[in-house]
Amino acid sequence: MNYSRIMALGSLVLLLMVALSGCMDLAVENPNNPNRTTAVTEPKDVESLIGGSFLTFWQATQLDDPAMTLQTMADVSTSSWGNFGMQDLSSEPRMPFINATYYVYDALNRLPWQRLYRAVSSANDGLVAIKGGMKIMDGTKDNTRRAQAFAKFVQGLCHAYAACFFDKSLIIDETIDLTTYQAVWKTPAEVMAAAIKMLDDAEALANQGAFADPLPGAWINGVSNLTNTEFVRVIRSYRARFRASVARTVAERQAVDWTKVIADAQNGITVAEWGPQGDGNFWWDALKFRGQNTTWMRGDYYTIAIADTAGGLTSWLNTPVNQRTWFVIKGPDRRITGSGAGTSSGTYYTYVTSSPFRDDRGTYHHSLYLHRRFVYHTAGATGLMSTITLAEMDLLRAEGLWYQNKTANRQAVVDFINKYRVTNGKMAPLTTAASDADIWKWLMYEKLIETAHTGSGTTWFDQRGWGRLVKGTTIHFPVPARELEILGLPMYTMGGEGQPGGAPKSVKDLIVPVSSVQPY
Amino acid sequence: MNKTLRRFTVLLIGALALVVTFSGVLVAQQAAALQGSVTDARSGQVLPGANVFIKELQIGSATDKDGNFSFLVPATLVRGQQVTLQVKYVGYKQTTETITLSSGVIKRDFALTEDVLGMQEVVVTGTIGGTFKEKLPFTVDRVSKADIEHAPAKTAESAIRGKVAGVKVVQGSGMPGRAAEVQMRGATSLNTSGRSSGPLYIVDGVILGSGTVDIDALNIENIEVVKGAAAASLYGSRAAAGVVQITTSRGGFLPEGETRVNFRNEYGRNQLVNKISLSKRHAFRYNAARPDSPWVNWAGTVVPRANRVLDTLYRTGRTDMYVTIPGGFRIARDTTMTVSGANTSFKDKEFAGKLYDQIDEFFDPGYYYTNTLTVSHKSRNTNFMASLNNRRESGVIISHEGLRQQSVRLNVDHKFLEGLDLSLSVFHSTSNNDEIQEESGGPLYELTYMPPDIDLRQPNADGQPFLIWPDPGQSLEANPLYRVHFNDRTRIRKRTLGSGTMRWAPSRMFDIEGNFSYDRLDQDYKNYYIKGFKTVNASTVNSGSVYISNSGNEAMNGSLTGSFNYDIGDLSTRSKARYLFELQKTRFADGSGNELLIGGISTLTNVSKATRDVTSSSTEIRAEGYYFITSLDFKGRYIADFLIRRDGSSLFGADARWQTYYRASAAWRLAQEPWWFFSDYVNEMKLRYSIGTAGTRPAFAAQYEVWNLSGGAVSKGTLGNAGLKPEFSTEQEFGFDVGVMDRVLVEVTYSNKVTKDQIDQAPLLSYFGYPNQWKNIGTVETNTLEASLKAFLIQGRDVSLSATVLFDQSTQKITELNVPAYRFGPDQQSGAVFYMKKDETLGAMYGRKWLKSADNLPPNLKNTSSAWQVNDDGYLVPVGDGNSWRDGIAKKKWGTNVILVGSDGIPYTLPWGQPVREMVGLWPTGNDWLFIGNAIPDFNLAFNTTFRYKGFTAYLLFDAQIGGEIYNLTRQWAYRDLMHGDNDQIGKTDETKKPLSYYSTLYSTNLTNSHFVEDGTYLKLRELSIRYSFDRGDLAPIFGSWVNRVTIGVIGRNLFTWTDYTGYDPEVGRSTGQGNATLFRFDGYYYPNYRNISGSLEIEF
Repeated sequence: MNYSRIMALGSLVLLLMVALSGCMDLAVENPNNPNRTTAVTEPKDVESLIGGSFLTFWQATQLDDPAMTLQTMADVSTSSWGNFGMQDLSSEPRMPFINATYYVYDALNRLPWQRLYRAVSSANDGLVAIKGGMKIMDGTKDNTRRAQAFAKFVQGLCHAYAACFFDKSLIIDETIDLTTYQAVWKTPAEVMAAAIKMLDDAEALANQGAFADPLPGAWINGVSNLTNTEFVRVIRSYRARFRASVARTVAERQAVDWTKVIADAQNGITVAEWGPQGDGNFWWDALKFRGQNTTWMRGDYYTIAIADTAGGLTSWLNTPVNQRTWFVIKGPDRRITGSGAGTSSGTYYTYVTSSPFRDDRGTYHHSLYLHRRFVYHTAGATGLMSTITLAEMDLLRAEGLWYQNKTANRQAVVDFINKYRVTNGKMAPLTTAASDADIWKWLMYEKLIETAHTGSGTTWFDQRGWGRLVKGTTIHFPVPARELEILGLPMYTMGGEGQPGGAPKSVKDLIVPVSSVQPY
Repeated sequence: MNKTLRRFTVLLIGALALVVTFSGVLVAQQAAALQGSVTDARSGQVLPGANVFIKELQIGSATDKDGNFSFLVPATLVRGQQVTLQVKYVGYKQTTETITLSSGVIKRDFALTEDVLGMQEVVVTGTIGGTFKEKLPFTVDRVSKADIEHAPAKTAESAIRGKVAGVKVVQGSGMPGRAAEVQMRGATSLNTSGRSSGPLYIVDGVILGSGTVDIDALNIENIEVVKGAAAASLYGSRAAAGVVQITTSRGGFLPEGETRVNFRNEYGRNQLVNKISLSKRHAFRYNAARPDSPWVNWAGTVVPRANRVLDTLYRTGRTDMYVTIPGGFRIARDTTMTVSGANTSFKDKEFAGKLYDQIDEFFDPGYYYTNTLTVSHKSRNTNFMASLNNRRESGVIISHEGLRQQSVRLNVDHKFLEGLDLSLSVFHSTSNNDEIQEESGGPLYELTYMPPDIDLRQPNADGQPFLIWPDPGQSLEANPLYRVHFNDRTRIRKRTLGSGTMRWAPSRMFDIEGNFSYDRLDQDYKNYYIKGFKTVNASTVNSGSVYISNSGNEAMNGSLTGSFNYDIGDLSTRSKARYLFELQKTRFADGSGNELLIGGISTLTNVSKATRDVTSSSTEIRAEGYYFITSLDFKGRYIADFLIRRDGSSLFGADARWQTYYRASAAWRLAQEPWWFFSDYVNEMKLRYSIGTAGTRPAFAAQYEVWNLSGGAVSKGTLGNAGLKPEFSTEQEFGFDVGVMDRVLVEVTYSNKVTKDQIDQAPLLSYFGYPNQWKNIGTVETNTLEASLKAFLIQGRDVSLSATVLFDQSTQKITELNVPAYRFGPDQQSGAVFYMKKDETLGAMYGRKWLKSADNLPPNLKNTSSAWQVNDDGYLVPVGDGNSWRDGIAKKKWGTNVILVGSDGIPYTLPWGQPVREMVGLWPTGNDWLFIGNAIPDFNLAFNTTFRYKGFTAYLLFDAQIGGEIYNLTRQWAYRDLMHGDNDQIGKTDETKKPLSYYSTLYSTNLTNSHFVEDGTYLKLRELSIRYSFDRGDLAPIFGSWVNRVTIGVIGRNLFTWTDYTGYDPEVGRSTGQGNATLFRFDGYYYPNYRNISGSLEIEF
């Protein structure tokens, strides 16, 4: 084969290669996940985006971080396991929260922050699309206003929770252009004001008239056929809770606009328990799934023994913290124990014969009472995940009335207490003759027992506003370290005795001794 | 597939068109006959299967079984010209002779010299084509069949362990059917989520699209290893972590006309090598005289085991300070006591009744066997190898069935015409693997909590075996034997590889080659809990549970190559241009559900509708590229090599689709210089330098903006990145090779590898809604020094002795990181122990560090140094002025507090005698997240030697890691329930005994801490084989002439490990998630590697 022939052959091969190269289409679509184009272009997809934002809000608040830890910080439940920072933040003496990216439990404030603003982002994207003229139609039915109202609702919930949880946060609504936005830090009060406005907007949209279709059951899982008027009730219930919950101190709590809280609570949900259904996968509730599991959590004597009549709580409180341990509650509240020796189960708590916690982490974590009111959720994380209860609404009204006028509202307040104390607790009714201190104590007690294991953080918000957190307990969380690092801002933290963001007083000072004149 | 097929069709038609166009040149008319023989120069033995051919004409043949060759050269090619007759034989130096080609018989005999140092082994990986090792300007290591056949590895990648310097092979999990992880010259990537961190594997021309576990190691002819970009640039954006090319036997080296049948059987046993230490003592009140009911309370009353009370050594309060709750735990209740029981109780009491070694109860020697039938044949134009393999490996855990695998392989080469060859390879494997759950929650986890005084085989109350909760008073964990028996996890793999290569060489100057390869893996996995599965706490699996997944992965690669060889005087040039494409598709679907309607049926139709859940996904990867490479060789002394490659991939961001890689290399063979005056002693001396670049590709989803679909809702996930590029690795290596007297070969290489544009998840500001974005965020730099010494000490006809020593040392550092430092590796529950931080070693461990010296006291406690002492564990503990750490029991100090007034005037309360955290900053709020360990070894060593005397061969391989630390979570978590052997205090004096709380302090709520960082140094006797071969002469009296050889042997693998590491095995690491076991030296309940001893019988017909 001669040289020229080889050269010709070589050229032909090279030509073939050149012809082949570059002809493959390297643009491959990702078939598994939608993107912005697919998610916010089609009206139906925008509607799904808005509808899905409540799940993100749910996951920001009701899962392990922060729900489990907040409940132990409130000393409504106790656990000495390290998980989710429970041991670090609920052991005594209370220590500051370690706000660092290296902290093993950094998810405690990071996940709520990330997920709240992710839910806000979805709501905002939907609102921007609608603002741009998008109509969400189902055939001839216009569901645009329904989507808009729901987006404002989730936007409001997320900002409200951020205001309650963080020492400062951001207001990000659909009017903000993120491409030019520079973080503007707002106080909890400012963020709550914005949140209330968002919820007001949601309510106003819903109140414009009946929705073409009720809210789909997938938006708040299992809550189907929610009409505009029922939806407004849910908005009001959340608004009542958060308006009261944002207070950090006793003074702030008392300064809450209770008239509005009462109005909202009064016009809130009418069912005894409201919440989405668990699906064992995406929709689940940590305080009901893990918080009622025998190895994870127990009722904390600080709270569940308030009705003890055998002096158990007094004795326990008079014992140095590191020497406290379990005792059997003997009292009239049939939610805590059965009748008799205290070793039988009540309707909300079951008596268990063991405590899973290790002595060396503090015997004061030991307790023989396991919450079981929502026990159906423990095995498969299914069933109603009671998040707002009528009791919470009633007792918010009672609290407001109490602050407004103890004398004029005394009967109403006592009636609200008795509604649960007598019906659920099988305790003898409280009378208006009871002292202010007793009425206040039993009001707090009813609220804690009735709302334990419902809304995330609710008991911590309440204990904070009532000044009942153990001294040094973190009263609000710093902006997550990771967010600060990205923004190039200095680290700071909250909590610990005598430290910024640490609760000022010891709960022991606030426990009112059991009055001998009151019937039990 | 359609596009690919079209593409392949174009390739094929193009190639055939070329063949047809130019095939006229191949028509021959008459022949000149070349004849002769090939023998071993030293022994005179004939060499059957040697290749004899005319270089210029590419015409030749192989020698027959008597060492003779003969072939014809067509008269049209016979012009009385000078041609080069070349003779090649594996393991011998090539020889050439210039002859004048004329009509008639030309007779030549050749005597070949053994290539003891392997300098003329032909290397094809990363090179322009088959190149002698002596002429390589960069490092390509080669492991040959002879290195592997002593103790054939169970998997292909583990066949290179201890045989190539600079390659770290870690079998993080010893579970049968699990692949080892391979890392070459340090890590290339920080975060390998969703993609492989290992090298690119090529098997018989098939670029693998999935792992190597299905590839059996028995038919391997050789393995070539390219360790980094300096040599691997040829493979572009997939090659920064190196390339491993495996070639299986093809029958090509057989004498012409010969058929060989080989039947190999191996049968052996598997055993656990080292046990971990579990507690054998207790700390409770105990009546040894009544071993049937020994537990008593403080009042001396006999109580059930679960109600036992701690036997506190000293008390200040009432005797009933501990009360046990029925069926549960001991609770301190004495309000007058000043110390808790955990501070004054010691695990120093012997049990009187029957004790169980729960490690022995759980582990059980298993068996191992393989049967392999291989048929090879070579004729004038065709050679093939067909192989059937059957393998069974049952691991070492009781009732663990392990792996069953069958595979079949067929390799065929056929020569259609002179210069027109076709090679086909087909492989299929099917395996069924019974898997064991690893990591926390699995049986290996549960095992570490089991008390020694409980029979794990006792039945449950309903008669079902294996009592589910053996230790209710002490531990929350379930019986590991229960899970092993009643939870089935089965994986079925089906793997098919196929490749075809057609090569047409119309002249020595030019050839073209078309290649197409196909790799398909189908996997079915099932995780099944029986209906009625017991757990300690209520669980979704109690009602029965089924999880089923099905996945498929198809990879297709094709290429068209033109090669051009041209000599100008003493300068020989070789050039090659190649176009290649790749298409890879995956699909995945799974379903799960609970609440089985009917027991015993493990289908998804048998789960309740409400719990049924399904997911699915698919991916497609497309890539193409082309390269041009040229190699220059002047007089065999000066060698240079240049390469440029363009790579396009659908995995890169839309704005970064095409990338360019290059390589430039040079070598100078000093010993070939005419002035080289040491040639009698130093017969090889080569200096070499190479710089090359290569990449690693992002995971499929990384470039895309991803919104999550979960729970029927859509939300933002990952922000897309159109500019996402591959990680870009630039490696420079320089080194030298020295051959001494054809007996010793020393190779030394230094490599510097800088991999920039690290692909990692960068956190984003939350208000954008996207938590992360995959970005190119940093640089990792590694420096590696590697050396090997091969010595052929005795090379006689009947006796030989050889030895190899390997050494390597690597450092790896994160030199740039444009995201905040972050914890990494195993998840929080398992201790995210690794810390990614600029200017820190990649592999650095961070966590709590216990004070060991007063020098490290926090500034505000420095003034209290006289109140501290270092105890016998090496920890600095607070004891108060005037006390000794030995006073705990004598002075009743355990459980008391030491109050230290810091220089800030604040009194700080510290538990007496307990380890204390070191911190940067002031006590107690300073930063206690500190450097605690480094997973990177100081250096690695391997040594192997082979001794042969007539039919007898002995071989052993040691490998060692010096330095490098392991985080031992298996030990740490056992501290939670004080069930580790460390917690036992028997044999200690009162001065040195530690109470339960001391170990709880070290447990530290399972937070990563320095107490559980252990030295990973080890020496292993990795492989040992003793074999005896009976040759034809020995066998003829019994079997006649049809049995060629019978070999019997004993093979040991992973025989002994010498180490101070306290886990099962220092060869451990986590291979899932963000990295692999070579980097994440983390011991978290992985199936231990075990010893295997087997006997083998090999018959060759």
